[in-house]
Parts: sequence; structure tokens; C-alpha cells
Amino acid sequence: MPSLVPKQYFLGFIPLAAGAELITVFGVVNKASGIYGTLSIFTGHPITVAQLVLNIISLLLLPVFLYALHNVRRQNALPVVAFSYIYFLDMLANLAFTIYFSVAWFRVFNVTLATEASKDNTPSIDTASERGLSITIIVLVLLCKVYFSLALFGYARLLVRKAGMRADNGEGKFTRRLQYFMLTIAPSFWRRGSRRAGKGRMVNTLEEGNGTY
Amino acid sequence: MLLPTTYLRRKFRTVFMSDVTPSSTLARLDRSWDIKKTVRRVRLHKWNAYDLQYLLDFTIACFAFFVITEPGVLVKLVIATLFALALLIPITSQFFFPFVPIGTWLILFYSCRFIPADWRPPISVTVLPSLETILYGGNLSNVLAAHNNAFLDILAWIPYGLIHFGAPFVCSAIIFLFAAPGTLPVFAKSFGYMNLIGVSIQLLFPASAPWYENMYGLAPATYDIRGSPGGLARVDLILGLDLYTSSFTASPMVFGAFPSLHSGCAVIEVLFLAHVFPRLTPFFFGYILWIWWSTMYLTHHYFIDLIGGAVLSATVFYIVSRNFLPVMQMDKSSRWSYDYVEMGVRAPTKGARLSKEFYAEDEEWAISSSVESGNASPTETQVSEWEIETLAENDEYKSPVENNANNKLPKYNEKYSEKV
Repeated sequence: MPSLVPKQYFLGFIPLAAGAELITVFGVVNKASGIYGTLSIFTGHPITVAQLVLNIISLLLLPVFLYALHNVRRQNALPVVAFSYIYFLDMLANLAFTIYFSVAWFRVFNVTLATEASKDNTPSIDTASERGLSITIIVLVLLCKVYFSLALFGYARLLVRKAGMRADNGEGKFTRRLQYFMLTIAPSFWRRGSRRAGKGRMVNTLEEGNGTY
Repeated sequence: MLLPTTYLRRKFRTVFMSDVTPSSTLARLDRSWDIKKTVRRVRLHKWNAYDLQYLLDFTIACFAFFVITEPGVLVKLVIATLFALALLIPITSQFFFPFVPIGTWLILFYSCRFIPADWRPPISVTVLPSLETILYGGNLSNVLAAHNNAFLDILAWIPYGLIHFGAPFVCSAIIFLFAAPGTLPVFAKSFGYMNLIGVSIQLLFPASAPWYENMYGLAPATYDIRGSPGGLARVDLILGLDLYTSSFTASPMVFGAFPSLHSGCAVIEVLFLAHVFPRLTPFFFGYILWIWWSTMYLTHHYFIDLIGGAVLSATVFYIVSRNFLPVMQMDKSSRWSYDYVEMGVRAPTKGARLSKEFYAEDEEWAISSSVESGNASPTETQVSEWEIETLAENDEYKSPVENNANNKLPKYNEKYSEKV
């Protein structure tokens, strides 16, 4: 089965470095919602606990994403690996929030529509198709996010291999521990030539040999 | 007596042209009136996939030509002829050629009111609020528009009603003066195509803005409904003018909530200005936050629309910055200081990869690798990279020496001056 994690090209034709930067920019833009969501506390708008938690997460992750953008651009391997994990966790959290909010929204929505229909006696035809469209778009957005997360992992792997990073060659106390922790989670993913564990070197020399002859 | 124009010209030269290289013609404008020159350029142009854009522009312009009924056929023909002439004469074409996408966008936007309702897709009313609430956990636009007062009205009006309309011109002037020669056409094209794509999406996916929800609830919308100024009506009251109420009521695009072109324009302007002045980036991003707040406060857009516009602009900018955008040289003070220009970044091509190491080296990102001595090495230079740009590029310089050793040397084009 071909791997879902892109190796060199984002969407099949954009270099992963550019793809990763675009993904991070989209992330930064999305996290800006935290600023506006938090403003609603000051305007005294009623807000549920889930909304508050989501807004605070977004607001806290905004500087993290900006810092990540800086490192994605400069191709610093270790911060990008850390960011790919953060993005993955954030994606999972987003998934949970999306499911929660969509259930809440469509429940309220149905009630509103029912009351409006009873008021006007003009049942709208389009609402069912519009609801279908909304759900389709949300599913697509979530699938995009999953792919973005995989692409970030792919880019991080590219940088790790380029920098020759292993689980055991970190420098400095904190960096060493972080690097060890992050690269031991899925060692065969990060290692060069992951398909045939242990024979990675050989595969590579063969490829290079093909180029010269 | 010293004329003020002479004084101003001298002043301008001391400020902007003090370090101009004597032999460089890079920053000069084309002063030719000879149509043959343009024809020759078109003939020598090497066609590639990017040239399909002109087919797209032409198709949209033709569509608009047939749909628009308001000015008569004669007036339309005169406008089309004048535009074609402006494209043919070199002295005007250096301005009007990069303007083509912008012009196409403006014409398409104007023609919206003439498109019959039964050609159009149904208007979605609930999709955008649903998406906003589900993806961002709350009705952000509604929350921000809940409390109004005169101070906030003015604060929202400044970016939305004033800066937005002036910014493209100011940005163009700044980019013309301070960026590398050739940046302004790239900006104009990016701006034009971003807006063209935006309006096309608005036509194919018509959606109602928050003001509609406030006025009519979630009732289905029809194309008979007229536009509304939303919160800008309050600004009209404060100013004692009728600036926005009449213009928004007569807007040709009533259900164009997604994507927000206010957001799209702001983002693409900011990305280009940040390219020219990287140190001011935080300030520019502050402006984006400001205009985003004001669009929601004035009930013109949902938050998801702003994200849509920003994503569109960012995508356009990254395509452009990798392929066409002249690299800034930070030690140069103005366009006249440049004695050579590099464009975009050498993106690795899929087939021409030798080994993994080579590929990894090649993946450098444009912004960090502004001036590299390695780039000037003759083996790396590919003429085809230069052909991508536009018709406005000077082709007669290259053609006679095409097969010469000369074409390997210049990483720059002395007569690149042909471009604005």
C-alpha cells in the first residue's frame, strides 16, 4: 500500500517546503479566530464552556504557529518535528470540537426551522440541500486538515533526514531529551529507507548508482 | 526663477536616484510608440502553460461583452478597441498589460447585474453561519456586531470604507518606488487574478451576508433582493452623507459573501508590502486584524469568508513568489539602485532530479536565499526560467544570442527596463 504521507511533493506537484509553509500560514489565519472569540468575553456575550476552551486554545496556539512559521521557512528540523506533533494533536482536538459543535448546531437549527415554519407556513425547500452542503464542506475541511497533518509529518521527515538527525544524537540537555522523545515514537517512520528496515543505506546507493550510469 | 517642478525633480533624484548605476537601464520605462515592437515581442515569445491565462481573460471578457446591455454595442466596441490599442502601443502597454486581470475582474463584477437569475445557482443562506458556528465554536460575526456605538462605527469605517479603496493605489506607488523593478506588474497580476477568482467563486457559490440574516432571518433568498449597506448605514448617518447606502443598495453583487474580497485584498497587499519591508510585518498584520474586525462589525461578512479570502490570497502569493516575484535586495534603497534582478526561486522540477542530496539542496526557500553567488554559475542558468514571465519581457535582447555562450552569463537582463 502506498504511504499516505507525502514524500517530496505536497498534492503531488508542490515542493513540500512550500506546502508546509502554506499549511502553517492557513493555520495561523485560522488561529486568529481565538482573538475575536475572546473579544466576546469583553462584550459580555454569553458563551459556553466549550467555546471558551476552544478560543483559549486558539489564542495560545497563535504565537506557537507564528514561531513555527518562522522555523518552517528556515527549515529547522527539530522545531518542525515538534510542530508536526502539535499540529496533529490540534487536529485531533479540532475534530472533537467540530463533532460537538455540529451536533449542538443542528439540534438548535432544527428547532429554529420548525418554529419558523409553523409561524410563516412557508416551508423552505432549500434547507435540506443546504444542510447537506454544510456537512459536505465540513467533512472536506476535516479531510484537508488530516492531509495537512500528514504533509507536515512528511516535511518534518524530509528535514530530519537532511539534517541526519537520530534519536540519540541531540545536543544540549533539553534538545537531546526532546529529540529522543519525538524520534522514538515511530522510529521506522523517521529513519531513512523505512520500507526495508536495516537495508536503507543499500537502497539509497542503488538509486544513486542508477543516476550515474 | 526656480520652477517648483525643477526643484521637485532634483529633490526626487537626490532621494531616490543617488546610487543609480550609470550603465543600468533596468528601472527605465519604455517610451516607444511603435506597434511593430509589440508584434515582434509576441512573435518571439516562447509559449508555455502559464499563457493559458490570456485565454481565460479573453473568454471572460467576451462573456461580459455579450451579457452587458447597459452601454450599447457601439460604446462597448469603442472601449474594446481602445483597450486593444493600449495593449499594442509599448508606452501604454507596459501599464495596461499587467492591468488585464484587474480589468477583467472589474468588467466581470460590473456584468453581474446583467446575468439573468435563472442562469445562476440557488443562494445559500444557512451554509455560512453553520460553518462559522461549527468550525469556530460560535457566531463570531454576530458577537462582534452586537454592540454598536459611534466611536466603533468610525473605527470600523476607516479600514472598510476608506483604506480598502485607496490601498491598491498607495501599495502600487510604494512597490513601484521601493521594490525591485518588475515587482509592480507581478503585484497587479496577483491582485487581479485573486479578485477574478474571488468573484467567480461568488458567482458560482452565491451566499448571503450577516446583514441578510439580520433583516430576513434564515428565509430563502432570491435574486430580486437588493443589497444593503449593513452597518455602513450608521456611518452615513454620522457623516451626514449618502456614500454607502445608495452604492451598496445598487451593488451588482448582492450575494457575494464568500470569499471576502476585503480580506483578500488586505492580505495580498500586506504580503507584498511585507515582501518589500520585512521589518514592518507585525504592523501590517495588525492592519489585517483591524479590517477583519470591521467587516464583521459592519455585518458584511462571516468569519469563514475572511478565512476564505485570506487563504485565496496566500495561495496566489505563494505561487507567484516562487515563480515570478523579483527578489528584494535589502541593501538597495529604491528601484533605481538595482543593477540586476533575480526572479522567484528555482523550484525543483520533477524529472530533473539527480539524487536526494541534490534535491534537498535545491529546496531552498526564496526569501532566505536572496543573493547567492552560486546562482550566477553558468551551469545552473536556464533561459527557460526567464521566458515564463510575460509578453512585456524584452525578447529581442535574447533572441539573437539565443545559442550563444552569452545567454549563460547574465542572470539579469539589462533591458529588463521594459517592465514597469
